[in-house]
Amino acid sequence: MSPQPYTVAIAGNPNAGKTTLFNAIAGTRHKVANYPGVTVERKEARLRLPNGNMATLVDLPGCYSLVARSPEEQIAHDLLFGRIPDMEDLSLVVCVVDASNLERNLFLVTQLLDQKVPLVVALNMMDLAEEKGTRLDPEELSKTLGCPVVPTVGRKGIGIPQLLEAIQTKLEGNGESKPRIEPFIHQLPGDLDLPVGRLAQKLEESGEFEARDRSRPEALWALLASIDGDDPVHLPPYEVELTRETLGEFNLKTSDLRRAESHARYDYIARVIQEAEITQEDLPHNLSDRLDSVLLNPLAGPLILLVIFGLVFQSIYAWAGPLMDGVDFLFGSIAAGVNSILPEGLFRSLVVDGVIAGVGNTVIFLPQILILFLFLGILEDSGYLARAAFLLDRLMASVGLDGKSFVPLLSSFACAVPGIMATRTIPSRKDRLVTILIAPLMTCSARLPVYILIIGTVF
Amino acid sequence: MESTLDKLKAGQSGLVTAILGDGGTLSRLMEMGMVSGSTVKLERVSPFGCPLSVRVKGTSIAIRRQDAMNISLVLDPQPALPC
Repeated sequence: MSPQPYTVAIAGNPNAGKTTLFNAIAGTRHKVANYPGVTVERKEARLRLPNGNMATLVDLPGCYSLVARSPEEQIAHDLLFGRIPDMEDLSLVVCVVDASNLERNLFLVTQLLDQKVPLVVALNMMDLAEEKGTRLDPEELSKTLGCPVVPTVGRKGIGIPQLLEAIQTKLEGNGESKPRIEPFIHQLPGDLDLPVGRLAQKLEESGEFEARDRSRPEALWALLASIDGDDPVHLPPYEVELTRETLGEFNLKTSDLRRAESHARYDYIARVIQEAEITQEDLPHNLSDRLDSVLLNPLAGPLILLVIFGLVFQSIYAWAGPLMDGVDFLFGSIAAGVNSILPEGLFRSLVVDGVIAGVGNTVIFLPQILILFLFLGILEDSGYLARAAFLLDRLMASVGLDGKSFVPLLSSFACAVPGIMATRTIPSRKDRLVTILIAPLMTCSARLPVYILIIGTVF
Repeated sequence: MESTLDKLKAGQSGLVTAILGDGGTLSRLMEMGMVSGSTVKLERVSPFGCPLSVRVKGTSIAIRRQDAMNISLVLDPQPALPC
């Protein structure tokens, strides 16, 4: 038993419960860093396996597909394809699946299976799935896909020991089984199979990919990546060239291939579901349906929205005031204290006017940031932020923005600093950047006294 | 009856027959299950007329009108009794 450094990644759709499961496995002790070169958060923790071995656990950004469209998905893609320098290759991927949205979540799972990465599926939110009318046997799904499937309920910590056990078994090289249905990549329909086969052949001839196992999935991703669009693509130049050549040979467009892939993969998923004898209904979720009919009601919806955001705005605009005064007072007293200790001169000026005043000027925003992020956390976790975006999208779209730009812009009226930080909830990179650039143009609370001063002086 | 997603009334559903056009939003919708052969239901329309909330493969997705126009479908037969 050698102490081998394992790296285990947790992947999954957004909102599949990845973070909850990460915390349930690793405890809350983790360190947060950025991936090299991008501001995508990377969460890492040490993981102790049942046999005492240690592994590094990495939380991958949530993604629906391995075809990258955002920096987050690009990171997930690059990590899974071993394309990030300074990062060890992954020993195993745990794919967290929202069992109550099985088909959509299996999309990513089947893409990972194409990739031949050692995979363990964590079938999360099984309780919700059962309420919604899904009947499934994890054992059957496991045999169909050929990888371990562990039912979990992240919130309650159910299934975590079994999941760790499965991870360990898989890391030891066991738990491999022949899938009942071959991976999607080896049974593409003709319109995909021809170009993929051709590009795979070219990649093999180029000498970079010897094995068919690796060249075929690589060829599929290369063809699906929009090499002429503005999406982030990190393919090596020779591969871009070969891909362009193949697209030309078959007179294909990336969008045609994407349409064909999504369609064929969902057909494939339907077969998986049938083979694993899973039955699904879409029973309405009573509570959330009833809430939605009020929260999204043409009359009550906007009113509730106004009240909630009025409250958020009031809290950062007015209620943070006393706290900020407190911080101000604290730094004032420290400065006064230091003033009385140190003799007058350059050094005192450096400490008092430079260090203390400088840090104080930054820390003074802390109350606003904390309050805003508390509200944002509550609104996001309760799902209200998505509803708010739904209500406000029309308004924001008229100035070319996303419904989710509203909260950052609103908070920028109080202060642009938390406003810019709040843009992290905007999915599209373009909209996020535009919002960040607009946010400082909102009239923040600190500017009002300046305006009043100028108005009073000039007029 | 042939139609497009943006023409559905709240509560109506249909069977997707084609997704026209290209672009990131449509590829994302396809990855989320909006492919030909899927059943979509229009749940509700935002009070300001856009976006639409549609249900496909067990998930609610908000989608803008101009994207919904690119999704062709066949309307499900109307229930005989109004409800």
